[in-house]
Amino acid sequence: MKRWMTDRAPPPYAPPLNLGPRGDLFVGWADPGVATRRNLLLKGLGLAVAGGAAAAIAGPLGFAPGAGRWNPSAIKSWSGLLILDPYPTLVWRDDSGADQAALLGCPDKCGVRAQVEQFADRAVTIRGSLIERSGLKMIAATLEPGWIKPQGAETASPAAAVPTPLGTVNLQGELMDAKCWLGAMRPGEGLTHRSCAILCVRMGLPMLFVAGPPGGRRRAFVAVDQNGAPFDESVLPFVADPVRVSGQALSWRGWPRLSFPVSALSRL
Amino acid sequence: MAHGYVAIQWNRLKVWYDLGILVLAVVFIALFVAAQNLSLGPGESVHPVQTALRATGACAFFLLTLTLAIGPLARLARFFAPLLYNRRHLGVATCLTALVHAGLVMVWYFGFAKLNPALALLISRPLSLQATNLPFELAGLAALSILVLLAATSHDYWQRVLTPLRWKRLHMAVYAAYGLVVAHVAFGPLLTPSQSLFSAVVLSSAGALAVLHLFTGLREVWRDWGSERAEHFLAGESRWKGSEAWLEVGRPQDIPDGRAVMVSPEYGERIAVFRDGDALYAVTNVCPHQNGPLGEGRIVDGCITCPWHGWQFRPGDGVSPPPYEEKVATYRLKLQDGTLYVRPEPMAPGSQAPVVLMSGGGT
Repeated sequence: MKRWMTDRAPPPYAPPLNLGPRGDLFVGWADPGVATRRNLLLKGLGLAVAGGAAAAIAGPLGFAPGAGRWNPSAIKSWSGLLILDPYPTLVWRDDSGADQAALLGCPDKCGVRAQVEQFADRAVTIRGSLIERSGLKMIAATLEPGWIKPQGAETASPAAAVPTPLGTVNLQGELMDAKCWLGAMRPGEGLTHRSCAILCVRMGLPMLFVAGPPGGRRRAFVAVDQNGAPFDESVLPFVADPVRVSGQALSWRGWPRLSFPVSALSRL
Repeated sequence: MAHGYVAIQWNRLKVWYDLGILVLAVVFIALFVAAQNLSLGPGESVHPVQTALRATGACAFFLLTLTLAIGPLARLARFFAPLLYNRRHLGVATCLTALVHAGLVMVWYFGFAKLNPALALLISRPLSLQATNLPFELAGLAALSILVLLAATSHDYWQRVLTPLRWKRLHMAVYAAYGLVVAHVAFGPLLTPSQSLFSAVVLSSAGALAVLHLFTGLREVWRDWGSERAEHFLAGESRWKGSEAWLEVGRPQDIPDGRAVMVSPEYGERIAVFRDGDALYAVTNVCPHQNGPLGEGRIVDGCITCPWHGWQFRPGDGVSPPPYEEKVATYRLKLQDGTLYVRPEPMAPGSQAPVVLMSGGGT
């Protein structure tokens, strides 16, 4: 059987190579000698320096990861009222007496609406990990058995779900899923993240409108349609694309909210 | 068919070469990560997986650009010739780095959902012809597919099976892969305002590579045909004909001992005319291994030695020394009134050509 070789070896009968006449010819299979070896080592080091310089230039370019935080292994429990619409949210009062609200999601790319519907407007305890950015919160529920438990008979008053209108605003920014932007991914925005964001929105994660230029001062709004409900799939082509929108700004328990029809979106 | 071929022959230099590639990749990724982290604002952090996928993506692009730059650079300066040796290993390293990048992207951006990541890749974006909606991930996937194909067929076994010509043509697909990589960046980060500087670096590298190839190619054309023929070529008159039955090589004493001059026939490949002491020989300039320029090699231990990978051929008959069997075409020479001429029709590979001596006479 004939096998193949990738390189030529010195012929077995050949005397040792006479390197003199070879001059500057580089022959890979031949012993290059001490001087050439040293020369090759210098070239290699030069290339490594050039590669390192290229990396040092490229590394910092184009980054706006934000100050989001998520430690999936830091599991805690939160007790509060579960509000279902527009997106499942847990609201509670902290030790200082301030109202807190956190959107709910699961550990992966999925929403938890189907799992929490039966607990709508009821007091519950939820186990999960906190995702937080700029004071805005989300809880990634563990989804392990017993991750959500009803607590007593407390129910939310109808007024608990009513946001405060702040007026009409014209904004430029980007639609994206809440979980990635808040800190599950860093960065979790821009076209490179687009497919992931669309997948997350399709799988039921809450949607945000993040106003402001990437890398600049940004403000996140919970994005809902003109009826205050989650968007249908017609919004997907605009996700993670720079857009301009005119809509109604609202405030609800510390979460800014933006209400607009898909037709109010235009690409920048 | 009984010669002692071995599948892969490692030598010390190859080991050092591969070690060098590893060091280069590690240095690149380490400095990329360090520079990225140093540039972050207070309280900011990049997710380690995203750091890794960015670093491996950038490293794969760097290695691919380097791989493609080595060819023209080695044509311009012998300084780069050692990099050409084992360039395929650099290509395979590029492919492996790109595979790590793609794997991280698939897991991170398309995993963790109740969908197969491959399906998620295909359906995550709504169909649209908007520039910002073009699936740049698919361009990357197409580039990766080509790189994997080329890496898988990079072994000499496939060169033998496919024949060098077809193998070389197949491996020219690396340029299509490079174009797809540029599209991968252009329709992704390039359209994201915050990443336009990163894209500018990538596109500048691609532009520099294109200019390097163009410059080197035109230089070779110029060398081939001289200014007059190059003008015809550039005017699109590629079938311009000369009239020489014998091509003039020049004065034999102008050929350095142990080296060659190259002449370009009207059709076909260059001819390398070697001088070994008093004897003169002519063989095709194209090494059958990887189309290396034999005429830029030397005579080492009585054999023409290719400058790319060191393949050797006896100058008289163009046959590799035993136990090897490869053959290259030889050409007839004649010395007339102190001027050397070569007949541009090649003899069958392995044919013994009459030897012409500088001192006159021959066999």
